[in-house]
Amino acid sequence: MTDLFKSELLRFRLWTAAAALVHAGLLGFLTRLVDLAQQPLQVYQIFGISYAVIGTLLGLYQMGSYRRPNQWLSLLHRPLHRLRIAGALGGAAAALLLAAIALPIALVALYQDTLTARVVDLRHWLLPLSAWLVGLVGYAAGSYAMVANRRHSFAVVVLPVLLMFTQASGLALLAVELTLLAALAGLLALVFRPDPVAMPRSFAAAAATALPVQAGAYFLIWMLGFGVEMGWTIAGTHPLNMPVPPTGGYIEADRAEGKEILLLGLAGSRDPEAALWREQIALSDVVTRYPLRGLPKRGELGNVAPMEFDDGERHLRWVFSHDRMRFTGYGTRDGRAHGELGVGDNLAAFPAPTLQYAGGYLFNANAAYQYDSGQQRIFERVRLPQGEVMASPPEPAGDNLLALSDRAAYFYPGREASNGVDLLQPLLRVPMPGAVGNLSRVDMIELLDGYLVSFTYTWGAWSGALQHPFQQVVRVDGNGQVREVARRTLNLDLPVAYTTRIWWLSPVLRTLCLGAQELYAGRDPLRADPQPVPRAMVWLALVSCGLSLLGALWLAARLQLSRRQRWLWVVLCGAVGLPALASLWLMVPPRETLPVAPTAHPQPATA
Amino acid sequence: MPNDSIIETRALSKRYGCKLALDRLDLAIPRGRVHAIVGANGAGKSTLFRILLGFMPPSAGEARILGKDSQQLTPQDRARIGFVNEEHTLPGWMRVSQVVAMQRHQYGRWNQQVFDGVIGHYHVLPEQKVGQLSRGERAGFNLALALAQKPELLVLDEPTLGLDVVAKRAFLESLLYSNAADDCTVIYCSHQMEEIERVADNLIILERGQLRHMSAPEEFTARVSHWVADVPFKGPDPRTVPGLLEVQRLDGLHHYLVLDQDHAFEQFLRASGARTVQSMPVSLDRAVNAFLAKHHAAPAAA
Repeated sequence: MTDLFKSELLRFRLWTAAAALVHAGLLGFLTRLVDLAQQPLQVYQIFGISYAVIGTLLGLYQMGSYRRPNQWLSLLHRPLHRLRIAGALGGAAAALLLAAIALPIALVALYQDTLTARVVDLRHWLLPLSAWLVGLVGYAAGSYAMVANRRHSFAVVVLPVLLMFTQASGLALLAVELTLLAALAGLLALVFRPDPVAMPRSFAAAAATALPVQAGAYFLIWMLGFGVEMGWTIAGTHPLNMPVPPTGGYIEADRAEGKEILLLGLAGSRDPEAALWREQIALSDVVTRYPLRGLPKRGELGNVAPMEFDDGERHLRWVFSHDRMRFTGYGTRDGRAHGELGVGDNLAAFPAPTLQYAGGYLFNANAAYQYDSGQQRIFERVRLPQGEVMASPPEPAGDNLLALSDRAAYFYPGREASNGVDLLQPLLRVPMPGAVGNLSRVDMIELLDGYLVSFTYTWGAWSGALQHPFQQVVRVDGNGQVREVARRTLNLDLPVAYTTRIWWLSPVLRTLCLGAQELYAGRDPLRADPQPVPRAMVWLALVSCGLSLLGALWLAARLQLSRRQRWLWVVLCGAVGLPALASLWLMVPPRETLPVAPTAHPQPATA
Repeated sequence: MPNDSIIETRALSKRYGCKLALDRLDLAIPRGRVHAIVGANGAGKSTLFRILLGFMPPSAGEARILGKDSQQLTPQDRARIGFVNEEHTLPGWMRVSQVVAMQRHQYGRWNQQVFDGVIGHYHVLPEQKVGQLSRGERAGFNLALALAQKPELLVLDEPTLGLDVVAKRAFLESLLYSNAADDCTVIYCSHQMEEIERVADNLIILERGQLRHMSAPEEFTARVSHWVADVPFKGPDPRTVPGLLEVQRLDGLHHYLVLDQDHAFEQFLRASGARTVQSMPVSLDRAVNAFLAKHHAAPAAA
């Protein structure tokens, strides 16, 4: 095993050295331009995709070179257990990816930590490990795709896509990466044998190898749905591509200007003041807020947004350190360290990772802060009630400030906000009528004694996660009394069978996907759970599963399956639905029927 | 199944789609000696080896190698079976000495003397990279590695394919003069009849996945006879010629290659109008080629 391991190291040593040099050079160049530790999530995702692709290419090439019949025979026909051979190849690939991917990142982190005043937290030291795991996940997927039966093995590439959608962060993300790697390594171990294209003998192993095929088929069928949208677009009937969106629908609500959405909300109001408000809307400035979709989490490997802000007057940059839970400063001109900033005069630690919002306030999940350049201090200005999290940091709304939590809208006194540094007390609290995860916008105008506020819930309508979009308009008077003045149900615009196809195609796989997405992740208060689908869609799912079951009954009888396996497949297809039927068709070869009589030879050739 | 055969198949079939690569093959190869397996392309030789080494499941029937079910081979069993294929697949990025060291670690019965003895037939240096070896040198190196493993069974699957005359001779000599080859059973698969004539003790002919013949090569040659007859006009209808493998008309004379015919065939030719009849022996190459060509697929009009 060690010999094979060394042999593979020898084989790829030059390529690895070249890749490591190019990688280190690229990171070194970039780190001279920007702080790589403070990039937005998309930058880390691009790097992560690159590492996954590098790992995949290595797996495809390495296994592809062995997968031709004679090479495969030479590789496996030796006095070593097949898994030790796989371990030698995989171990060598892991060492090579460590050198090409993780080592350059660690070197750049070391450079930043020791030779610059930039912040390097523990989470940054975990980045090489995470990148390495991502590369290994790609390698395992590429290897499996090349070794297993290529009729269906390339479906495995859908599994690493989980890393793009996982809600886990920090150590939990590493756990997800490890879990995914273990699953892919397990799949590879199942097929890494002399006859890798044959179906595993046990049903459990067959079901395990069927999972990526089903996930791939599920994803593919779901994607084919976009063909329907293309058809609507070509026909000119797609609601999203019409010059004027359908009346009363969620698309109209999403696209409406501030004044329009308030007028649309009030259209059905029987409130005696409604006519007056319509006139006021036409004359007022409408404030529109869009809630945040995510908050920074302590120890996360990436950043929702760069965790830093600049003090232009003093030429300082303050970077939030997750380890110290304070801002660490350095000069933008001289690059020298410039101390720390906490909350208030005693520089207390922030309760959660804090970053700057567009409006100038710093915020975290619990509170909002203001930086005073003159005093070089950060003061807490807004604190949300216990149990609520920030959905939109404070911003001016007329004379006052408006902030959103996951449960309510808060108005704070604008004058006090401008003239002091004390903690502000809310003037008004307006409870939200729905889950903030479905809230797409909040619109408001200032009245003489209060506000007219519109909450529009359409987030998730397109993806089928929201079944009941609506708009509510409330009147808040100066005493904080909240009164609903209008409420309307919004249309989904697209057929429900289309938007919810991700569910009815396979409720089991949908549940599995959501579970994988939430694996090891804490609950995100800014996300809403998918709403139950209409009863008609439940029937559609049952019909789909029933058709799959009947199809499996017909198909399984014609495939190389034992009686027990046949019935297990039928049950699986009935439970999982059409993607399982697709996997059955792709994975199990047809039953072989040998002729009972000796074969007849053709007429002999004569000279 | 009894265990006195090193390879034994019973009603072994393998189907690719609607085509049978092996058709209820019954084969028992005894231990010891050199056994040559010949057959046209598509006769099922490679399929047979893949099944025997456990790299492909049979569609039906049984296959045993070294007395074990071929689908249940353990790493220890594999150590007892050497395999050399026509591509001589070796890690081209490694040096000869590194490959030797790797094999020595993996094979407990490694015999350095055997390796040195075989590789001595070639000008291969330990520090050379495998990728830099000529095709002939790679073949010799591969053979040396396989023999030094001291296998009980050595399968050589068209090992001289693509080699020039000199390299072929070097390969055969290194095989024939190695004592290690005497201690194991050798399965030699080749299309080169002069090689088979030289090395094989036993000739196995496969055709369309079926065993057509198994005997010593000279016995097979003895079954095929070449008759030259001076027959006026067209001669007898080929369909009426007993045991006919091949007929040609050259310089006005009819040349018949026939199977399992004795002197009665001369009477047949004379009865068909032959004025003179002459019989002569045939080479193994010609006999096997005629035997295999007889059943080769041909257009209906042929």
